[in-house]
Amino acid sequence: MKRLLWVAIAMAVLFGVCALAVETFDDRETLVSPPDAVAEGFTREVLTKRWDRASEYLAEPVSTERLRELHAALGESDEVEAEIVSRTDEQALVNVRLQDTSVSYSLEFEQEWKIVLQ
Amino acid sequence: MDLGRIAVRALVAYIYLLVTTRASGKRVIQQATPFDFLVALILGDLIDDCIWAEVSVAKFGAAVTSIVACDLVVKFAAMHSQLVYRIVNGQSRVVMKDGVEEGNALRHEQLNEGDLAHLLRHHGIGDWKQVRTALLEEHAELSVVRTHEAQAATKEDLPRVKELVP
Repeated sequence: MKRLLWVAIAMAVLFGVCALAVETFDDRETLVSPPDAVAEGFTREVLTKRWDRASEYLAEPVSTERLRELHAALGESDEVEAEIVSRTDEQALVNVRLQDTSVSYSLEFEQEWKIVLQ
Repeated sequence: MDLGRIAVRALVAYIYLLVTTRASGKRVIQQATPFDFLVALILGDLIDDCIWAEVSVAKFGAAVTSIVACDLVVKFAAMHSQLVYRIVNGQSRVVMKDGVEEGNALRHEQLNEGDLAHLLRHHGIGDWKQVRTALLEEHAELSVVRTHEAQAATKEDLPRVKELVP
C-alpha cells in the first residue's frame, strides 16, 4: 500500500502546483479551464439538455426552467465557438457563436471560471 | 487557443501520468491483462480533456488518481487473494492436450482452430502432435509444453544419442 501513498502524494503535489499557479501567479487560463472553454462547455450542455451538468458551470444555481428558456433561445446547433471579448483577473466576457445566433456570458473567477446567468 | 498554454498543460499531464503510472508498479506491457489495457485507455482519454482545457488540471489529477488508486487496490487484493485474482484476471485454460484441441475451452476463450493454429505457429509448431499441453494464460499468451520427442535435445539426452549412434 506504499504505492497508494505515493499516488496520494503525487496528487497533493499537483493540487499544490495548481493552487500556487492560481493564487500566487494569477493563472486564469493554463492550469484552469479558460473562460471561453467554460462558456463553450456550458453551451454544449444546454444544447444537449443536460441540466445538471450545465448547472456545474454556474456561479449561482438557477432553476431548470431558466435553463430550458436558454435552450429555447439558443435553438439547435452543431456549431459552438467561443471567443473572449474581455478579461480581467476576476471577470470575463465571452461571446459564443452558434449556427444561427450568438450569446454572451459574464464569468467570475472563484478558484475556476463560473458563468453568471443574468 | 494559445499554443504555449496547450504545451504547458500537455507537459503537466504527461509528467503526472508518468509519475502515477510509475508509482503504480512495474508491470510490463507483455504481462498486461485486458483490464490493464482498459485502464490505459481510460487514462488516455482523460489526458485529451486536460490538454484541450475542457477540464482543469486539478480535475484531471483527481480523475487520474481515482482510477490509478482503484487499480492499485484491486491489484493489491488480487495479490493477496486467489479468488480476487481469478475474478480480475481470469485463469489460464488448457486449450490443447496431447495434440487435440479442447473445443469447450476454445469456445470459452472465443478462439477458433485457425486462431489456435496461428498462436502455435508463433511457437514454431506446425504439427499439433508435437504439443503435450497448450495453455492460454490470463494475459492472452499461449504457453506450450511439447512432447518429449518434440523438445530440443539437451545434455541429458547424450547417453541416449550415444546408444543410438554406433
